[in-house]
Formats: sequence, structure tokens, C-alpha cells
Amino acid sequence: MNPFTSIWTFLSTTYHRLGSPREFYRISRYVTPVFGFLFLTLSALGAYFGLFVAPADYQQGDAFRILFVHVPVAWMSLFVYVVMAVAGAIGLIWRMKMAFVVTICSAPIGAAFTALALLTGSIWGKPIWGTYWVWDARLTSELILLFLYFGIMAVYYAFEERKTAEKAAALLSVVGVVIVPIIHYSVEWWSSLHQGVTVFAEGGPKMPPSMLLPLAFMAVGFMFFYGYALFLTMRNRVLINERKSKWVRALAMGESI
Amino acid sequence: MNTLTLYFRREWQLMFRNTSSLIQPLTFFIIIALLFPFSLPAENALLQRIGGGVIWVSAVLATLLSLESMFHSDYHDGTLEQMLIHPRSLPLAMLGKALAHWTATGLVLSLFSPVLCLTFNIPSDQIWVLFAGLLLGTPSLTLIGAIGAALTVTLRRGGVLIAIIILPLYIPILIFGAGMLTQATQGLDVTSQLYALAAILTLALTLSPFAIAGALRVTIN
Amino acid sequence: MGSCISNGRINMNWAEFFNMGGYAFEVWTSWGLTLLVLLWFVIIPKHRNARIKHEIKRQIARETRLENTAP
Repeated sequence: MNPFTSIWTFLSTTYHRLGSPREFYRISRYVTPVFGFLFLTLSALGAYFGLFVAPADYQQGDAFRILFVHVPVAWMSLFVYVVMAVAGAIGLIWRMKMAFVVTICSAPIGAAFTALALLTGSIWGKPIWGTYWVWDARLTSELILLFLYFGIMAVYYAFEERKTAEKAAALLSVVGVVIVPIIHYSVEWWSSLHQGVTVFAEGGPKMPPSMLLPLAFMAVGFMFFYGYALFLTMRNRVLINERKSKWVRALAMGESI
Repeated sequence: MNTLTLYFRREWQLMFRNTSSLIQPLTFFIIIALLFPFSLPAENALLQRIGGGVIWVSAVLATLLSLESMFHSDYHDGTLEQMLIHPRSLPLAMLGKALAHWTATGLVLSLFSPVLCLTFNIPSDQIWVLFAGLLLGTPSLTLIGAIGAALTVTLRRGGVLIAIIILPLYIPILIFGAGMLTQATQGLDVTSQLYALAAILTLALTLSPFAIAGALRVTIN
Repeated sequence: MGSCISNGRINMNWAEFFNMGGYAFEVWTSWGLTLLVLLWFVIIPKHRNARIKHEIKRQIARETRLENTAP
């Protein structure tokens, strides 16, 4: 068999196996700790290089060390949204049960990342810009993103029937992902209209490697954290959704599946 | 008769039998806009500066208020279920319905906006800018808002939920619409904002009927 | 920062390290908040997993009890 066919077979069987809640529960038991371990290692390295090794910034002093958590968290806030919407679309088009679970379980994690990005950003902004909040394009887009996450969660919890709730939340996340670029573009135009001074200097100093390295470690580490937290919450959601099935009952009685 | 005009006409007949549905959004629009002068220092210069933004926010809120009832009567008398199982194209039907809804809300608000502009002392050349912006922006408000209305139609307390899910999506329209007026007061060209609003409207016209139809298929079973 | 390498050994000045060049509050609140949120999304689901299994177990026990007592 040629290698491409075997890769394709492997991918499609993985997809179909992950599409079954029971198979997901079985596989995720081994994958989740790996994600957790990778997250811990990478973010510990990132924290070490970021807090101990990287020299203080010549303009911002040690305050720039906030960016080692702020920037990855802000990236993740967008990444999670895209994952959520793609999973929502897969769920709606191919009626894949587990895709809806990805959408629903991603929303609180994404909202938390967004809130963290806003909080750490304004804590950083106070000493550097002299104010907690600036009506800057990036901050404003991030705030709107937070409300989009809230909307998706609100829709999910408004419906009593789970299947309707899942589909409604997935649909809204797909609608949102179409509008997010428009929001971003419009807010950018708006902030250039309203703001006298540009906060982010265009073509500013390039990032030195001592700063890039911890940032890269943290960013990849946080990606694995998302996988870790997502799988942990998804495992719970699967148990609740399938609580009447035989395998969950066997699992609760201490049998292995 | 094709699906679009059929549902457009049906919606029109229903709305004109119940004139309060025509008057309510307009009244709400005017009252909201008139609350601002009372809550701010009564200076003509200030009111003139904020007038465009106030009228846009009022239009957004009035549209939002009218959305809640958009599918309600059709849902409760079972018409919506009939539409879902009917072989006619549901997205086209929804487009007709949304456009008819717009003529009773957004269009009426836009037509009345010059009068409100006068109370805010907005100069006449800017009145045209605001009017054109509202005319291009309010259909998008209705079309995008209808997605939220369709998602929440089966819920008993859907009103607040519509606001939570739809208002963030309204921000681009608000930014370009109200920003256009800010540009105009500085004597700058506003065609790029008009194009942006037109682009959003094109997207809303083509995509939102499918989203509305999808939302109805999800929530009504 | 706060550390210097002398004779191949790293000497840390911990007070200086925690002071963060005067930005102690900002830096440690940001990192602390992030850590708290990350912990939250690990501890709560793990705790919940055990509780869900326990609930299902109780449900099964209740059902078997009902079956046994029914005539």
C-alpha cells in the first residue's frame, strides 16, 4: 500500500473513532495526560526563560514580562474561536456528535482566555500607557470577542433540549466567525479615526531572541493547555450526555472500557 | 408568483392589518433619541456633534426591539412549521419576510431621521449623509438580527438573549454608519464608508437568509 | 535579572527578583491571575469527573433497589 493511502486510512479511521463518544473517552484517557505534560514542560521552560533569563526591556523595564502571558493568551482567544466555529460547522454539516461537544466545551475556555488577555493587557497598560483602558483597535476587538463568547454560551444554556442547544450554539459560532473579520476591520478603521496618537509604534524595535524564545515556549505550551482543558471538560460532557448508555454505567461501576 | 414576492406581500398584508406594529418601532426610535438631550448639558454645539451617533444607536435599539416579534405570531399559529415542510425555498421566503419587516421598521426610521436631525441642529448637508447611511445600514441590521430572532423564537424569554447575541454583530454597521457622519463634519469624503456599508449589506443579503433558515430548522422541530 | 553568574554558580538575589524592577504588582498579578485561571480549568473538571461517576453509580443503585422491591 502506498504511504498516502495508509495515512489517509489512518486519518479517516481516527476521525470516525473520535466521532464516537465511547472511543473518544477511551482514547482521550491516554491523550489528555500527554497534553497536560507537554503544557507543563513547555510553559515551565517559557516561565523560566521569561522570568529569569530574559534581560529587562530597555524601555519597559521588567513590566514587559507580563507579555509572556498576555500575548499567548490573546493568540489563544482567537485560536479557540476559530476551532469552535470549525467544529460547529463540522457538527452542522456532517452531524458529528463530538464536534458539538468541542464547540460547547471550547466556549468557556475561550472566554477565559479572552478575559485574561483583557485583564493582563490593562494591568500592563497602566504603567506603560498610564491608563488601564485605551479605545484601541486590538483592545476593542478583544472586548467584542468576549461578548461573542458570552452570546454563544448564553444561547447554549437557554435551551432545555440539549440537541437544539448544541446546534443553535454551533450555528451562532459559525455566523460569528464570518463577522469577526468585518468587526476587526471596522474597529481598526474606527480607532484610526478617533485616536490622536498611535499607541503601537509602527515598525518598532524587532523582538530580540531572548524574548522570542520564552514567548514561543509559552505560546505552544498554552496551545497544549487548551487541548488539555478541552479534553478534560469534554470527557465530563460525554459522560453526562451518554449517562444512560451501557458503557458509561459500566464505567461508573468501576469497570474498564 | 415566486417565493420572494409571495412572502413579501404576505408580510405586508399582515403588518398593515395591525398598524401598531408599524407605529411602535418609530415611536420607540424617537423617544430613545429624545432622551439624550435631557441627559446631557443642553448645548447646541454638543447635541450637533453627538446627534448622528445618537440617531444611529436609537435606530439599532428600535430595530432590535422590533425583531422579537418578527417570528412570534408565525410560530404560535403554526405557520412557521408549515413553511419549514413546504417545498418552497425557505431562505428565499425568509429574505422576503425580512425585507418586508425592514420596510416597516428600518425604512420608516430612515425616512423620519431627517426630522430628528433638525432637533439636533445637524446641518442639512450632513442630514443627507446620515439618511443615506441609515438607508444602507438598516436592512443589514434587520437581516442579521433576524438570525438572532430565528434562534430565540421558541424561547419564552428571548428578548434579552437576542440583544446579547446580536448587538456585538451590529458593531461594524454602527461604526461605519456613525463614523460616516464624523467624517462628514470634518469635511472629509464618505464614499468609502458608503461602500463598506454596501458591502456589508451585500453579504447580509446573500448569506443571512441561509443562516435564518438554518436557525429555524435548528430550533423548530 | 536579579542573578549573576560568578565562579560558575548562579547567585540569585530573590528580593530583587520579586521586586521586578518596581513592577512587582503588575507582573505578579498578571502571572498569578493566569495561573489561577489555568488551575481552575484543570481542577474543576477533574473534581467534576469524579462527581459525575458517583452520581451515575447512585442512580444505578437506586434503580436496582426499585427493581428488587417491586413485586
